Amino acid sequence: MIIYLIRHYIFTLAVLRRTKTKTALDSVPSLKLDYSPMVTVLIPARDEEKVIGRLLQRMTELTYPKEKMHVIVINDASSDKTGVIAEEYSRRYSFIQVLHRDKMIGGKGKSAAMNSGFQRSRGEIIICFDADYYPQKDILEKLVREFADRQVGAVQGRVVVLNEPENIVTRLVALERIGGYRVDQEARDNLGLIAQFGGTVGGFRRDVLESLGGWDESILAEDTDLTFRVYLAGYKLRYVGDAECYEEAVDNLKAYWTQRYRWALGHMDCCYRHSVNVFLSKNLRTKEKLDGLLLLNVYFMPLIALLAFVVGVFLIFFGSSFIVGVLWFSVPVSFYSFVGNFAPFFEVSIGAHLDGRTRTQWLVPLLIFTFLFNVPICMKAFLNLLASKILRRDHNVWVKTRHLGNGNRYIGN
Amino acid sequence: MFNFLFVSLAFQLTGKLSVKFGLLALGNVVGLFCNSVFYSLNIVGVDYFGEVFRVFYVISYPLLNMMWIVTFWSLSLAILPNPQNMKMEVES
Repeated sequence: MIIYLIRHYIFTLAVLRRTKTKTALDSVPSLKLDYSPMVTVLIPARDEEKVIGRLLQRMTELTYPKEKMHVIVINDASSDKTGVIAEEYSRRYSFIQVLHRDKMIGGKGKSAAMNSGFQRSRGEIIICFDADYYPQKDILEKLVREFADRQVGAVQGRVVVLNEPENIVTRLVALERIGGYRVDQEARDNLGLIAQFGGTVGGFRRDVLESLGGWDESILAEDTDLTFRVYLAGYKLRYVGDAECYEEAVDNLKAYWTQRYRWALGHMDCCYRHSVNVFLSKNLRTKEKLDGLLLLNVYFMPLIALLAFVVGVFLIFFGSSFIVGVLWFSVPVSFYSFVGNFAPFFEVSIGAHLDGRTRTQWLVPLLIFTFLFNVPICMKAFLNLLASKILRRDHNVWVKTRHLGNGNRYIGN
Repeated sequence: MFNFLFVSLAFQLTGKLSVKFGLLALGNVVGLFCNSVFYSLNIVGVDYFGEVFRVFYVISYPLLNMMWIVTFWSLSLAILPNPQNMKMEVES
């Protein structure tokens, strides 16, 4: 727990130092600016009729040369008008293609949909957007230019919540995103650690993705899995903070629970699969290994804090002894490391401050409720993962997040 | 812990040094006040409910401290000037 505290503190310091030392020399090298290869944009969509039109319209407005763009919408066994809307755009714009997966082969999760789209792609660079996203007009230029460096195998842009003013849940999710991208991801990229692909607003070099075999359809956190496979293969992942894309965040606790449970379960599964490989990898430096292992285990932290509290209660009744005293000290330290030292809180509030979000600072104390809410989520994910490994049963049931198009009203304001 | 984090992080932000020292001092005053309230509550609670209340107090003590530290920290950042005025505009 203390290591995580130190890690978050270092991240926050790194971002503060970087913000202070940013100069004109940080302008993009011309080598990167000249790099504009063929790009395929993959958009997996299942029952996204409320939002798919918005994203496809945005695809037509992107500033990247249309002759170098190829958009594939993977209509994954939708039961609404997603396919119809996508086909309409495909008829009007030649660079947009729709791939329909019927109910026999479709609906088996995002990874399967992405793989089928990838098989039909022809771009040198593969970029992914979820259907509820709304990117900047020049986002492809910003993401793609990083691939001018041959060592870069993948990129990740910044996610900003579009429907933040909707209610308290969306506002708190927005705060989490600020901490996660403005500070956490940026620090990890600046320090040469493990920046993470978030499943959307990012992309891969085609040959790297081919060599890795595409998306793993047996895991829920396909983004985390690909992140580590990229690093283990000897490539780097760059975080591009100025490549912003707006997402429609979950707006109720039930959807929040479903989404975070899927993330926790998938992430823990990635930890099970990749921890040893990360530790033994010859392609990773020591600091990358350490950060990678910490990243893989992050969803276990709420469980450790809970365990510390449970142990603490029992220690009360064991009388005093040296060992009990030492163990007892671990209780507040553990809790402080998880919540009391507020490493995530400090990250979030610093990130909000750097973004100029003054009024949002007032909501930071409420993040304690989302952190506490994550404790039972992680507990359930851990127990389900444990049971599935012991009983050798499949735990990967993809429950998609519903998007109602509530973010539309915030576009153009 | 509050002093260490405030000095090492908040002091790096833009803003007058006097304002930062003022916030740091105010934070310590608030912390002393809150902890004296918590301690008084503990004494009264143990006297009234017995040793069980001490267990409850020890378990919830970090959470109680978190409430004032995070609140004061975030409000302090709201007072310090922003490096940029970011507008939540989505380009159309």
